[in-house]
Amino acid sequence: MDSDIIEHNPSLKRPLLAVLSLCAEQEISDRGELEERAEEVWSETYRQSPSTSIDILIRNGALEEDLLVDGKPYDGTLEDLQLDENVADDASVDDSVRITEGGSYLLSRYEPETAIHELFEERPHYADVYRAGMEACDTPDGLNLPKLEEVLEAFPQLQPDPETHQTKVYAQYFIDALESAGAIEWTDAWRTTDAGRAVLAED
Amino acid sequence: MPFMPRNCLVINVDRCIGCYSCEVACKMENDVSLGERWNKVVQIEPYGEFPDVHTFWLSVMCQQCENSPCVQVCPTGASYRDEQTDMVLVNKEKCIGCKYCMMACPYGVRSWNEEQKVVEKCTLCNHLTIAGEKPACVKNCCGTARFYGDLDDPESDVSKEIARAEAAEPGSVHHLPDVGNGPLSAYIFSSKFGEWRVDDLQQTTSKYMTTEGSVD
Amino acid sequence: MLLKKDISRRGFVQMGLFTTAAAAMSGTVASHLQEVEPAEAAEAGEEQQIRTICRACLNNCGIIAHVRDGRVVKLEGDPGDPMNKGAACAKGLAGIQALYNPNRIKYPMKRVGERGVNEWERLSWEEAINEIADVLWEHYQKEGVKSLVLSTGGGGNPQFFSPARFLTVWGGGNFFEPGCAQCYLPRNHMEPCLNGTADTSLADGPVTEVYLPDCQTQVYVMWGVGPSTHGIGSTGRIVTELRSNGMKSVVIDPRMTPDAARADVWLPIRPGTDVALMLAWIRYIIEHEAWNEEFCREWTNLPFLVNSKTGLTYRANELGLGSKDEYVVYDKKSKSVKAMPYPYDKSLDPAMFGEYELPDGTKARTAFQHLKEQCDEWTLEKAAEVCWLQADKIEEAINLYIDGTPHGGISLGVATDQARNSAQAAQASAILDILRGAIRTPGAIVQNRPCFVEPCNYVVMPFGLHGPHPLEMPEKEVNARLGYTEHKGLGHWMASHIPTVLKAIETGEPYRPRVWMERSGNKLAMIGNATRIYNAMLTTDMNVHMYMHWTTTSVCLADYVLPTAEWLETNYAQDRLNTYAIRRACTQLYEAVDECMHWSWMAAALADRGHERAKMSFDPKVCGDFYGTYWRTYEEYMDFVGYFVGSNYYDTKKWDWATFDAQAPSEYQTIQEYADKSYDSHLDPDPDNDGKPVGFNTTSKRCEPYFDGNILLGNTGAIDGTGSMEPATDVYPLSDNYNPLPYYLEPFETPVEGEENYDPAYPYALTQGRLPAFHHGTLRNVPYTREIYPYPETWINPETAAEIGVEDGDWLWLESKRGRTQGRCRITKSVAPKVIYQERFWNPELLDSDDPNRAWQCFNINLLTQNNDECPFNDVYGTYTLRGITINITKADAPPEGCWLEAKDFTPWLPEYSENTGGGNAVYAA
Repeated sequence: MDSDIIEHNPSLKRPLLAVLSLCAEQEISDRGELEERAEEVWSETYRQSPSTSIDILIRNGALEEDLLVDGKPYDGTLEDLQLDENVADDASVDDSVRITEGGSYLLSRYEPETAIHELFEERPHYADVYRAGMEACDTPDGLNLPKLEEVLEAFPQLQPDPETHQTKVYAQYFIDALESAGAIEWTDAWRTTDAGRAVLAED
Repeated sequence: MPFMPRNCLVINVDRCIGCYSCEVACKMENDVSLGERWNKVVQIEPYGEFPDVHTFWLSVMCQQCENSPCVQVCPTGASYRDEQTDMVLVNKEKCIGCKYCMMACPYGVRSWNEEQKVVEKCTLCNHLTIAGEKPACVKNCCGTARFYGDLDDPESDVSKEIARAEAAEPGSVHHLPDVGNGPLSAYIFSSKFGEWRVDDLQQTTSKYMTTEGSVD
Repeated sequence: MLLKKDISRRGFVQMGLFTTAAAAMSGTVASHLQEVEPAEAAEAGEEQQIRTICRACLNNCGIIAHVRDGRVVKLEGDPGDPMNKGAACAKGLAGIQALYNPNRIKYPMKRVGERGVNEWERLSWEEAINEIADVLWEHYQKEGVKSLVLSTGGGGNPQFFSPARFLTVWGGGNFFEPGCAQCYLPRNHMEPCLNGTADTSLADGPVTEVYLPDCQTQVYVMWGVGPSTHGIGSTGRIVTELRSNGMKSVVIDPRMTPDAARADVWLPIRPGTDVALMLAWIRYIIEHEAWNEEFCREWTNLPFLVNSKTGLTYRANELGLGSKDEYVVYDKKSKSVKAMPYPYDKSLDPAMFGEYELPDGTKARTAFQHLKEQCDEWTLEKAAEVCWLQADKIEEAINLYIDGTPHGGISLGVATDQARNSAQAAQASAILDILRGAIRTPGAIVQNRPCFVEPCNYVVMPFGLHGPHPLEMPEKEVNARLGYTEHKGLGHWMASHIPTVLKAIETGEPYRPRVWMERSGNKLAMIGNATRIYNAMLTTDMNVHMYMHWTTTSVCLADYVLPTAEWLETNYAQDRLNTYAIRRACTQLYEAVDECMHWSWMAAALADRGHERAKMSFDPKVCGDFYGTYWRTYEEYMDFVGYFVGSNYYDTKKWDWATFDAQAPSEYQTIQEYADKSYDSHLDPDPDNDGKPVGFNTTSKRCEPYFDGNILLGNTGAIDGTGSMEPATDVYPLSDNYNPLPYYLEPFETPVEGEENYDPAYPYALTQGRLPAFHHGTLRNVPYTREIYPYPETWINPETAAEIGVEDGDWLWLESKRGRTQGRCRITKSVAPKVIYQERFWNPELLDSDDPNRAWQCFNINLLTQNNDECPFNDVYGTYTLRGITINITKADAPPEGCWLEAKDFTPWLPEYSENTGGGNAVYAA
C-alpha cells in the first residue's frame, strides 16, 4: 500500500485519517455507527462526507467492508447494494468495516510526529527556521500570517542572495511544509499542534 | 423538349485548400448521418520526387451526369431527372433500397441512409437555390473554390469560372473519368500545380488516395 | 455481535437524482439523445437570423446564426464580414454540435470521492462559488497570495486575460497558459521590440494588410504558419484569393500543407532549424546589397556604434559627443565619429559597416557590422546542410522575397515559438523585413494598425496592464512570479514559467502553489511532457476546472467543475479591420455562463469575506472606466463591453450594450482611413516633440534590428533599462545577457548524427501543426469534426517507413525519453525522410472508462514532448520544446483499446437539444 490516496488528495488527508483513527480504536465497526461517530468529530472544512470518505478508503484498500444480506455475504459495494433491485427493501443488512494493514500504514505514515521528523531530516538546512516557526506559533492566541512571516523572514535562508539579489525561498514554503507535516494548524490563526509541541520538547 | 438548364457544381481545384468545410456544410444543411457524405473530399497523396511533389484535394459529389447510369438502372424511378430543372435527384418515397444505383454510379457518390433505408445524395441544395441562395458547400467554401449554376447560361458563376480558366490556361478544365455517363461538373486544375491524375487513384483511407509516385 | 441497522440511504438519494454527468460520454447512460433536426424550415416558429462572430478558433469570423424557438438550427458564414466574406470552416459550422453536445458541463459539480473517480454531485452556483471562495479565503489568510495558480488556454479563450485580471485583484500568485512562451508570446513581444510596429501573426490578428481591397502585397513568406489550416474562413480564404490574383508565396514548413502545395517555393525545413535559415537569408541580403539603403541608414540603428564591452549602442554623451538622446555614428565625410540626433542629420554620411576608433582610443563596430559577422558563417550551403534543404531552392525563395518586398513580407507562425530558439526566430524574422524596408508601406506585412488594446484586443484586461493602477499587482509579487526573473519576456503577458511552476509544486521551493483554477480544455493533452503536470496537480489542495465540456482536466484532476459558455451563448466584441463586430448570444443553456462571470462572482464572494482588494474591484472610482469594475450580473458586463467599444473606437463614452448592439457590426473608420493610417506613419509629426516625426515605437524611435534593449530587458526587466528586476542568472547560453542579435541553437534532441546530443535510440524529428477540423484540444468530441480525423495520423516519408518496416495504416508506437504513445501510419511525401508529423490528440470517449487517464495517454504526443530541466529553455521566454524533439517508432499490434475509430462510434455525441434557460445568469448574481 502506498500513500498515493492522500498524496494525491491532500484535502482529504484530515477526513480520511479521522475515519482511520476511529477504525483503529476497535477491530470491527458497524458502518452506520462509524458514520455517526465520524459526524461527531467532523469539521465543516472537510469537503467530503463521512460516508464518502469511508467509500474512498474501501476503494483504496485502507478499509475492508463486509456486507451481509440476511446473514449471507453480499458480493459488491454498498452502492451496488443500494441500487440492487434484487434485494428486498426490508432485507436485513449487516455492514461492517475494519482497518487493513494498508490503513494502519497510512495512520503511521502521517502520524504527525513522524512526519515532522521527516521534514527536518529531508531539509536539515531549514531546521532552525522550522523550529522558530513552531515555537512562534506556540501561544494561546496563535499567530496571524504577517506575524509568522516576520518571524520566518528574519532568517538568512530567506534573505535575497547577496550576488543575484534573488530570494531563493519564501515564508510560504515553510508555512505550507509545517502545516503539511502537522506541526502547525490554522484555526483563524496559526497554532502549534500537540505533535509540534512534542517534537519541540524533544530537545 | 423545352430548354433545360444544366445545373451543376464547378470546383476550382487550384483554390481548394482541403479544409473540409464543404463536407461539414453539406452535412449540417442536409442532416447527413455520421459516416456518410454527400460530398467527399480526398487528398491525392503528394506524388513525384521529394521535395518536388504535387498534390491536390478532390471534392467528389454527384456529377449530375448527362447520361446518368443511376437513373437508367433504377427500377422504380426513385432516381430520376427533375422535369423542370433537369437535375438528377432521388425521390426517397419511391426508393426500395435495392442499391443498384449505388453500384452503377462510377464515382460512389450515392449514400445509403441506414435509418430511412433509402439512397440519398447531393441535391444541389435545391431547397436553397429555389430561394435564390447558393448551395451550402458553395456559400461556406473557404477557398472560394466552388461554383454553382447553369452551364448553359454564360452569365452563371460556373460558366464564367470555366471561361476564365480556359482563357488563363487552355486545357485546365477537367472532368472526372467519363465512361459514357457524361459528368457535368468541371474541375479546374492548372498544370503548374501538377497533373490531373484521376485515372489511377487507389484509396488508402477515407481521406487519402495514392497515385503513381505517391509512395514509390 | 453485529448490530442490524438500516442501510444509510443518505448518500444514495443524491446519486440517484443526479447521474454522473461524465457517464454520458460513451452513451452508457440512457440520455435524451434526439436526431439532428433537418435544417428545412419548420412549420411552427419564426426563424431569426442573428449576425454574430464565431469563436471556434481565435479568428472571429462573421457568422449568421439561425435561431428558431430558442434553438440554434443553422450556421453559415456572414457575407458582410470584411475578412471571411461569407466563408465558414468546419470548426465554425460544427458550432451547433459543440453547443448542444451531450458532454456539456451543465451545472456546477463537485466530485464525490477521490480524484480520478468519476462520481459527481450537482451544486447550485451559490454553493459552488461559496465553497470555492471559502477555500481561497482560507489560503489567502493562512498562507498568502502565493498559494494560488491559475491557468487558461490561449486561442481558445476569448477572455484570455481573465485569470491575470483575477490575480491582480487577488494580489499575487501565478498564471500560465500552455501556449504563451510556446505560442505567440515570443513573436508578440519580440517582433515589435525590433520593428517598433507590430508582430506578424496572421492567426492572432495583427496582419491586416492582406485583407485590404486592392491589396498590394506582392510576396508573402509564410514562415511556420499555415493559413489554410488555422483561421480558415478568414486566413485561408484571403491567401487563396491573393495567390489567385498573382501574389507570390514562399512557404517554410516541414510538412506540405495546402499553402505549401500552392506556394511558388516550398522549403521543407527540418524542424527547429529556422533560425539557421533566417541567418542565411540575412547574410544573402547583406552579401547582395539587397538591403534598403535609405531606410536602413535613416530609420534603423544599424549604423550606430556599439560598445563592445557592454553590447549596448553608444549614447553621444558617453563619448562626449553630444546628448544622452543622441546615438553615435562614424561619419564618412568628416572621417570621425559624430553624434546622430533624432530623427536624422542629413549632413552626415554614416558608415553602415566597419570598425572605427573612438575619441578614447578604443574601437567600436557598427551594429550592422555586428549583424554581418553574426551571420557570416551562414552561407546558403551551410543552411542547406543544417536545414535539410537545397541551396538553389533557398536562393529562389530569397529572391522571390527580395523581388516582392517592400510590398510584401514575412508572417512568422507559431512553429518557431515552440522550441528553444523562439526569441531568436522572432528577432531574425523582424530583421529581415526591416532590412528590406518592408514596414508601414503598402503591401508590407508589418503595419501600424494597432489594436487599441494589445495584445489581440481583448476587452477584459488585467488591472495595470497598460500603466500604473491602484489594483495592479504589487511589485514584490510580480517579481516573485515563478520563472519570471529568469525569463523576463514572460512579463509582457504577466505570465509565469510552466516548468518553474511545476517544480515549485513538486519541491515546495521557492514557494508552493496550493490551489489551481484552470479555465480551458485539456492541460493534460496540451502541456509538454503531460505526465509531469498530471503528477504535480494531483498534489494541490483544490483544483477547479471551468470549461464547456468534460475533459481530462475535469475527470482526472478537478475537485469542482464549473460550466462556461460556448461561443454561441456569449456576448463579446471584436474588431474586424475597420469595423467593429459583435458576438451575440443566440441562446443560453443549462447553468452555463461566460467565464468572465465566474471570476467576478468569485471576487464578490471574496469581497463578502473581507478581501480588501476584491472589495475595491467593484468600486468604479478605484477601477476606472478603461478596465471597468468586476460585474455582479452578466448585463453589467455586457454594458462594459459596449462602453469599451464606444470609448476606444467610436469616440463616445456613452455606449452601453444596447447602443453597441443596435449598430453593430459597423465601421469605426472608412477602409481607406484604416489602410492609410499605417503608411509612413513613422513620419507623422509628433505634437509632443516639436513636430519631429513620431518615429517607431522603440527606445531609439528607429527600428532596432540590433536589439540592445534585450540586454537591458535581461538585466532589469524593461527594454529601456528602467525596470527594477534582478538579472537572470541561469540563462542559456550562460551569460547575464539576452543577445541583441539572433543566434542559432541546434535542437537539443537532434536527429543529426555527430551532433552533441544525438541519440541513435531516437533518430527521428517530430513536429506538429494545425488540422482544419480542430482548434488545439477542442472538437475531438464533436461528431462531424471527429469523424474527419478520428485518430491521429503519423505522417512518415516512404523512405523512412521502409527503414522502420511499417506500412500505411499500421498502428504505431511513438516513443521519446519522456514516454510513449500511439498513432496510425500514413505513408506520405508530405514530409521529408526522418521527419515525422503527428498532431495533438485526446480521446473523450475514455473519460468514463475504468481508467480515465487513458483519455490523455493513448494518442497524445505531449507525453513525448519536453518541459523539464534536461533540455535548456529559451532564454527570454523560457520556451520548452514541443516541435523538434526526437522519437523512435515501432509497429504496434493494435490500436489502443477502447478508442473510437469509426464514424458511427461518435453517435452518442450527436446534439442533444436543450432550451434557452438564460444560463447561469438566470439563477445567480453576485
